[in-house]
Amino acid sequence: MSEREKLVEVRNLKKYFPVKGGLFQRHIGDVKAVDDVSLDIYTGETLGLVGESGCGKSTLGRTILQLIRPSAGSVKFRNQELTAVTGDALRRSRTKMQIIFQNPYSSLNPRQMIERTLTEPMSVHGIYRGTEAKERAAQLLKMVGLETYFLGRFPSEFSGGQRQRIGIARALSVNPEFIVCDEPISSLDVSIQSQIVNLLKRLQKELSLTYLFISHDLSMVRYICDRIAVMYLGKIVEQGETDQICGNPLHPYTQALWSAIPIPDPEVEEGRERIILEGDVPSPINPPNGCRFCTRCPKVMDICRSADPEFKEIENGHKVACHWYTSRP
Amino acid sequence: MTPLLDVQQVEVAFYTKDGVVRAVNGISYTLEKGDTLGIVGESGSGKSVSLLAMLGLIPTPPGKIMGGKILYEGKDLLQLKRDQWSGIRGKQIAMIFQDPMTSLNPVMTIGNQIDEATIVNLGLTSKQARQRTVEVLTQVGIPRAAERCNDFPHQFSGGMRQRVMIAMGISCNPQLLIADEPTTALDVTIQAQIIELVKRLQKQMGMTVIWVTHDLGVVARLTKKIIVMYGGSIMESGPIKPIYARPKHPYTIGLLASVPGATINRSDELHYIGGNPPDMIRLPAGCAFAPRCAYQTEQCLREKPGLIEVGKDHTAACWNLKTVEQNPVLAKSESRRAAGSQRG
Repeated sequence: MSEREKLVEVRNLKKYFPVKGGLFQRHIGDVKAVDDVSLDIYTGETLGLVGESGCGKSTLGRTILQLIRPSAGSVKFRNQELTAVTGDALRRSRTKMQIIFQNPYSSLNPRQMIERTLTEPMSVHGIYRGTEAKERAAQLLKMVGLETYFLGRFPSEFSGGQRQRIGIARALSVNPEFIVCDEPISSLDVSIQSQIVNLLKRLQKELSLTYLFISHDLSMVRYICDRIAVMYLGKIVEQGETDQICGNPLHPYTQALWSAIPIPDPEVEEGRERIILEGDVPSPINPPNGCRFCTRCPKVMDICRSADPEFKEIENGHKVACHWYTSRP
Repeated sequence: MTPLLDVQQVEVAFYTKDGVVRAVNGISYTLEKGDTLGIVGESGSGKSVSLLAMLGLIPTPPGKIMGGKILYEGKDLLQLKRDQWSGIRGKQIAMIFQDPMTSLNPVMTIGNQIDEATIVNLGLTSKQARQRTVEVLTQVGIPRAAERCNDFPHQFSGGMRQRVMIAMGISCNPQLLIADEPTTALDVTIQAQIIELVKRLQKQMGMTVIWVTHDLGVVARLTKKIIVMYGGSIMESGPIKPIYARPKHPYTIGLLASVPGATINRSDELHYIGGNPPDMIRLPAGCAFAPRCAYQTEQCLREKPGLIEVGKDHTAACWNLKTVEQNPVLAKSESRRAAGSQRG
């Protein structure tokens, strides 16, 4: 474990978005999208980040990349502190870290030919220019399983799966080491999802990439990721190896999340025990006191409503933030 | 006994400036009272359009019903005149849509929106209607229903809005409830709540339910019978257990294999169906799935296969069922090769 090299080190990261209101647009509160998150991402691994919409998983991904600047905390990439970096130095760091977006329809410029989409990052970062850049773009297309003559086409000529391949090629254009995959398959059809997942896995092996894979599709996460972090209302509630999280989920939220996912097998579904959570996710502007999950938790105790649980290691590498494991009498 | 619903050879096309989109190409099935049917398909497979036809909601033009019959209690819905629909739509057959935010009126309180349904369809007075509204809102699990009647849709969360939609759907006690991807826009824990809710309501009210989705897991949890659609045609249909355990059509086999199961090894490559979904304007002459199929023969490209009985109530539309049965492993290696040559 300890020999693994930390590529990204996140410590006590916070991102609050101010909420303004009233007559003079005064600051009346904060959306605590990411609230005191710490995690490590090791070289060559895929870390899955799962949670429901609004839990802050995309904000966390973007804050790590400094696409959104954090309110507090630190993000280190290869031991370099990113939160302090600005201007040219920040731009240089971007060649090492890229992102693949969820919606391949809105994340490609409809007026740009694919060639420009792929070569622009190279020229911005001064990696390749002119014919060299064009050759590289053609090579990238081949790498993601598309034909090189697609360079002269516009995004509207492609299907969703093909667009997502182009989005992946664009992320690869600057030779990154680390890619945040922000729900890259959730807007694709089932039969296309597995194509893209296979592609991402193949590229990871060939180019020794490290992924932060943000998703709410737990069956895919289980298949793709080496480790998983589960997020709820801006906080990480459980983290561990995939087998630990899937085989022995400790946090009541993870347990409920697992049981909520329908399994495509009627025989299994028939005999399955279900934990149906009551209510909705509370507002991140005014999260509950104590444990954030206490309003919906089936195992809630008195202490949960007053004290924030500590994020503690229960077994080797498997951490959970829940009083059930730490403060039970 | 006549089935509640008997769909026969329904065809729907849309005349667009780019060409004729053949959205639904001759689908047939029957549904008994109290059944739950799942219709599974990817985007553009025609699953929603076939149901819109059932409610007379195909915009004409550009849409046109090219043929077929939809017999509801023996009465052909496709022959109804505009003013005859009011006795059916909402009252007998209700529909829940995918996105509750766009299907509710944002400038009308939800109480008034639900009242409207019962006033128009059941002829209730506004007082009776409000009473009924509070009743159904309570039934779908909205706390403080009487107060919340005065709230607007934006004051509800996504899951709550979908409950409001369901309340509206069941307010007139329909016999048939059509749910068109009602949980696709929702989170899994909320999706689980909605599925349990519909199951409970179905039991209480004895409703027949058609649930449209692309999620193979949701269908497995909810329904007893499924129809798998692709390119506007039914590829396979039947009781859910045999289809999931021993799918017969190459598309169903591929679809089920694309979802990583609990036993999959992380170092294994995931099965996938090569190529891209069909262009509905330029559908192949034969089987819609043929261009992506590993078992494709010349006949598949030329002639459209009909549904062939492969088990009890279990049918599949494929020319090569025997070959598929004998070489189910072929699907994997062959389709991969096919994908390589066709990609793009």
